[in-house]
Amino acid sequence: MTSLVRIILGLIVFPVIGGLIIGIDRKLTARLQGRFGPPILQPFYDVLKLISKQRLAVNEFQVMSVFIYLASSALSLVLFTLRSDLLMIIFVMSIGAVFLVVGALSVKSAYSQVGAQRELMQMLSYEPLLILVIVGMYLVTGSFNIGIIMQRGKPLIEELPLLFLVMIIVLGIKMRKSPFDLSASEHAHQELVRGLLTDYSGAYLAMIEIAHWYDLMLLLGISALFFYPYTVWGIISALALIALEILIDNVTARLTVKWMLGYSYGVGLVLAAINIVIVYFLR
Amino acid sequence: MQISLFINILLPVLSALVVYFIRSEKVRNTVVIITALAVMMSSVYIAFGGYNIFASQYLWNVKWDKIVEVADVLLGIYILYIAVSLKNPLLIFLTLLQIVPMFIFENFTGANLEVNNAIYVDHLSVIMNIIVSFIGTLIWIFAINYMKEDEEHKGVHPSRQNRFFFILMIFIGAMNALIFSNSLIWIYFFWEITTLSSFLLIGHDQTDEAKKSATRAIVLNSIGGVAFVAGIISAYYKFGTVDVQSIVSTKASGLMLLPIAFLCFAAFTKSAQIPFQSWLLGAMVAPTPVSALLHSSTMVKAGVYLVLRIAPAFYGSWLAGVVAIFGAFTFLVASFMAIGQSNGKKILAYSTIANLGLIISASSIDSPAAVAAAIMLIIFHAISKALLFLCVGTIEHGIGSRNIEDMRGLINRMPFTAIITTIGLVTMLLPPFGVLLSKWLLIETVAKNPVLVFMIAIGSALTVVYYARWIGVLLSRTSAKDRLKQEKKNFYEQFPLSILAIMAVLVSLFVTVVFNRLIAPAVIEYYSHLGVIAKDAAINTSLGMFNLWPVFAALTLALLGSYIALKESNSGYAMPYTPGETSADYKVIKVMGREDRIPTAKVSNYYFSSIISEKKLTPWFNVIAMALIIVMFGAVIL
Repeated sequence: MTSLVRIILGLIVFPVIGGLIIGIDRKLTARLQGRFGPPILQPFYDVLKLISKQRLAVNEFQVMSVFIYLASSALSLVLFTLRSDLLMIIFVMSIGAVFLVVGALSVKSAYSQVGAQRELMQMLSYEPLLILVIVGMYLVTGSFNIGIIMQRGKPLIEELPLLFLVMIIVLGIKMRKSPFDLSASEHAHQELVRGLLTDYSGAYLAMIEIAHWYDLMLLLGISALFFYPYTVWGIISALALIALEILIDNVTARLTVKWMLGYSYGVGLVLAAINIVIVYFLR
Repeated sequence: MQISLFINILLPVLSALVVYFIRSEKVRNTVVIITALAVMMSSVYIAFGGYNIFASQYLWNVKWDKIVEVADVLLGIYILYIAVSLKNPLLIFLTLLQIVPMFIFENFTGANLEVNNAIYVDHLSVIMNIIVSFIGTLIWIFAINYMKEDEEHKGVHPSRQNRFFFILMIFIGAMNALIFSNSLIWIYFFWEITTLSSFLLIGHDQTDEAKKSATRAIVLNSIGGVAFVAGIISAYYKFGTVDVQSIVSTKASGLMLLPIAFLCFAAFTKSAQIPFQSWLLGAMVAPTPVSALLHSSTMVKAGVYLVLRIAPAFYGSWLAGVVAIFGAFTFLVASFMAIGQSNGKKILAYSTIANLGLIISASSIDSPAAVAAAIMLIIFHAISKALLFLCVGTIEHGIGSRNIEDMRGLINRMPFTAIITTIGLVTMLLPPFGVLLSKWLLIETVAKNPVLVFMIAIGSALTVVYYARWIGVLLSRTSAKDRLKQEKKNFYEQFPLSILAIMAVLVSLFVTVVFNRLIAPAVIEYYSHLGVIAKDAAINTSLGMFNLWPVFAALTLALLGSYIALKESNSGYAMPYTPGETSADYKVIKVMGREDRIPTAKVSNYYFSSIISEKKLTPWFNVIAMALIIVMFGAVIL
C-alpha cells in the first residue's frame, strides 16, 4: 500500500465508516428503547444539515478550538494509518481534546462550563490508561512504532488480555457513553443543551461530530491492533466492542465524576498494572 | 574568550555595585539594559567561540582559589550574622555546621584542593549559560518597570530598588560562575550566594509573611548546604579530589556513592523537591521578577544542573534507581497538588516543583536518551515558566489579583497579556512544543520501568487539567457584547514578554537544530552514545519517532481555517445559552426559583478542596518522600 492510499484511508474512508458505526449505534439504541430509530445514514444527514446553517459562534476562540480539534483528530488517525509512533498519536489526539475543552470554557454559560470541567475529568480518567495500554504494547514488542508492533506475527491479546479490557473503559470514557457520559449529558428531555457541546452550533457542531468519528476509529484501530495479524478477528472484536459499549450505555445510568475517577483508577489502573507487571517479569 | 567569560560573570557584579551606589533611576535603567545586552552577547560568543578549559592557578594573573576560599569564609560569617539577628537557633546551628567543618577541612587537614581546570566550558554548561544569560537578563528588563509600579502601588519610600537590582544582578553573575566552575568548592561558594540572594529577595517587601518565607527558604537551603559540605568532604576522601571532571569520569560504586548521594540531597533542597517544597511555595510572596528569575527558570535549575553534572558518576547504579523514583514521585505529587490551587502563582510553583522532579528523574535513568530529555526539559521549561511568571505578575498589576477565577475574560481587559499567557500555557501543555516533546522522549525511554512510567503517565494527565482550564478561563468572551479594551502599553514589560513568547515557539520549531548543536554533544561528551537522531524536523529513537512538521502543519491549517471561517460573510456571533439566569455576571449566576430568596449558583473550576487539601496531605507526602531519601542513603551504605 502506498502512503497516498493510507492517507486517503485515514482521512476519508475510515471516518465515513465511523459515521456509519454511529448510525448503527443510534438505530440499535432506539430498538433497545422500543423506538423505531433514525435511518443508519442519519449522522451524515445531520452533518450536511448542520453545515448549511448560519454560522454562529459565541466567540472567536470557540471557532479556533473547533478547527484545532478537527485537525488534530484527523491527523492522529492519518498517523495511525501511516503506521507511525503510537505515543505520538496519543499526544496529537490530546491537542484536540484540550482545545475542545478550551472552546467550551471560553463561553460564559453554566452548561458549557460544567460540561468542560467534567470533560477535563474524563480526560484525566482515560489518558493514563491509554498511555499504559501503549506501554504494554511496547513491553511486548520492543517498539512504539505501529509498523514494528505489527511485525510480531502473534496477536498481542495473548499477552495483554487485561489491557484489552482497559481499552473497553477507555472507549467508554472517550466516546462519552453511559455511565461515563458526564461531560455530554443532555438537559432533561432534549438534545440541544448537551454539556460541553451546548454552545456549539451549525457547521462548528458538524465539525465536532466529524472529529468524533475520527476519534472513534482511532480507538477501534488500537483495539483491533491487539488481534493483528488476525485482521478479521480484529474487526470482529472492534465491532463486538462497539456492541458491548452500546449495551452498557443502555443498561447503566450516568454516575458522578468522583465515581468515574475512582473506577478508572481503581479498576483500570489495577488491571493495567497487573498486566504490565506480568509482562515485565515474564520477559 | 577570557574577555567574554569576564563579561558573563564579573560584569553583572560590577554593574550591580554601580546600581547600588548610584541611586539615579536613569543611570540604573541604562546600566541594567547595557549589562543585559552584554551578558547575552557574551553567552552567544562563548557558545560559538569554542569549548575551552582554563587552569585555576592564574587567570588574569590572579590566584582565584585563595579568593574563593576567603570569600567563602566571609559569606559564611555573613549568613551566621543573619542567623543570629533572626534569633533562629536552628539556622545558627546549620550555618555553624557548614562553616566549621569547611574551615577545618580547608586549613588543617592538608588536603590538596587544587583542581586541574577551575573553569570548564562544555556543552552542558553552555546550555545552562545561555538559559541564564538570556532569560535572567530579560527578567531584569521586565523588572525595571515592574518594580517602579510595585513601589508606587505599595507606597515604598524611599525607593529600595537599588538594593533589589543589586541582588538580582549579583545573582546572575553567581549563577554563571556556578555553571562554569569545575571545583566542588567553587560550586559550593556560588551555591551559597544563590541561597543568600534568594533569602534577601524573598524578604524584600519586609512584611511579616515575607520575613517568615525568607527565613524558611534559608533554613531549608542551609540543610542542603550542610549536605553539600558533607558531599565535598566525603568526595575528597573517596575520590581523592574535588575536581568535578575527575569525579564524573570515575564510575562510582559502593561507598563511593555516598558523596554523590549527599550532593543529590543538596540538589533536592535547592530544587525544592518534596519534602523541601515549602520554601518555594512560600517564595511567591516576593515580587514577580524574583519568582520568575530565582524560583522557576534559573536558581532552582542549579539543583537539577548539579544532578545532571554528577549523573555520569552514578549512572546505572542502585542510587540512580532510587533518585529516579524520588523525582518521579515529586512530579506526581506536585502535579496532584496543583489541581487544588486557584492561586495562579501557586499553580506555577507546584508545576515548577513537578517539572524539576521530572528532570531529576530523567537525569538518573540509565539511558542517555533520558538525559537528553532532561536537558531538553530544562531549556523549554525555563523559557515557558519564566514567561508565565512574568505574565501572572503583569496580570496581577492589571487586575489586582493572581487568582485564576478572577482572570475570567482577561482577553477583554488585557488582550495582549492574555494572548501571551495563552502562548506560555500552550507551550507548557501541548505537543509539538518542546516541553511535551521532552515528555514524549522521556516516556518512551522509561517505558521499560513500570513504576516510573505509571507515575509519569498519571502526573502528565494531571498537568493537562490545571493548565487546560486556565487557558479556557483567560479566553472567556462573548463577542457579541464584550468590547476589547486597549491595554496599557509599556516597552519594559511587553518587550521581554514578546521575546520570551517568540522564543518559546521558535525554539520548539527549530528543536532539531538545538538538539544537534547543543543537547546531543552535551550527552555524548559523558555517555559516549545517545541513541537519538534529530533530523528533518523529527526526533528518532530506536523505539519510535516524533515527526514535528505534520503537527505544526495541521495547527497552521486549523488556525488559517478558523481565520477564513470568521472572515466569511455568513458568520456571526450569538449569545451563550443562559436560560433563566442573569447574564450580567457570569461568575455568580443567579437562578430564579419558586423560592422567595434568590439562590446563587456559582460556576467555577473543580478544585476538589475536600480531597486535595494541602494541610492534610502535605505531611503524608513529606513522610513518603523522607522515606525515599532514607532508602537512598540506605542503598548506598548497605
